[in-house]
Amino acid sequence: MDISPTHHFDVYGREEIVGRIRAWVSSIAGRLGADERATADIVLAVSEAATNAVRHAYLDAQEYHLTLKARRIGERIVVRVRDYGSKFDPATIRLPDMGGVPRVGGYGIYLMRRVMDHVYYMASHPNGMELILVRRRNTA
Amino acid sequence: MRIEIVESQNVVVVAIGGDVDTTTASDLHTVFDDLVARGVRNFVIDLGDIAFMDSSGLAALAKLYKRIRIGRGDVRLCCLPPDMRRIIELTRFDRVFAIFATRAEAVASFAPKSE
Repeated sequence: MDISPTHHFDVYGREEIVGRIRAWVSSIAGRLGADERATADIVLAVSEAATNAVRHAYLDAQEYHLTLKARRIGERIVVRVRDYGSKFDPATIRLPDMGGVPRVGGYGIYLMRRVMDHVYYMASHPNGMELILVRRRNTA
Repeated sequence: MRIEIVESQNVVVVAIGGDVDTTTASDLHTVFDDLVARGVRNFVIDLGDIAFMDSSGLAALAKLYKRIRIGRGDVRLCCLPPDMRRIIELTRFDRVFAIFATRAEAVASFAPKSE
């Protein structure tokens, strides 16, 4: 199977790192051959993942640290988003009730799952969590 | 993120541009809170210049909608770029918000119905 080299991005800072992460993953997704829709989906999912990390894993931290890794495995692009903060259980984040009046919040994980083919949480690290996002690089 | 507010007789247009994410959504909440506090009840949210919006922006729209729908006002959306439309449809916001192709149509939809 054709596997690309792994691209790494270590980023430190406050909430503004989410925008820097989006810019990085948008560039990398294109270089890995993602089409326009796939790139938009990957950027959205990674932005949501980074947002969850800075909101839930780094509650009291002065600086956040995230590590991203991206590579293509065959026709799929795999992005790993690793934080080094407190562990949190994503199951505790309520998914929105999608009927009637919209709920304020809870759409991040829902959107990630909708736009990606697979979303996995790895909680076995000594500290922090890792989110693994997988999507086909071609939408058709 | 850029926010432009255009007020007319019974409608306020809030045109949002750029990136709406966790770092900028608080500004959007502030703008919405101020307008609601001033008694604005009819909103058109123009999303035509949005480059990126994630769940933080959706939460701001949902919060505004819930506050406004308690009274007699409404929040209507217009000018959705394709990526924005997809997110709105994925979250089924299109079943909650009336969506218009142009700002003019959205504003006109608030005009009193003639007898």
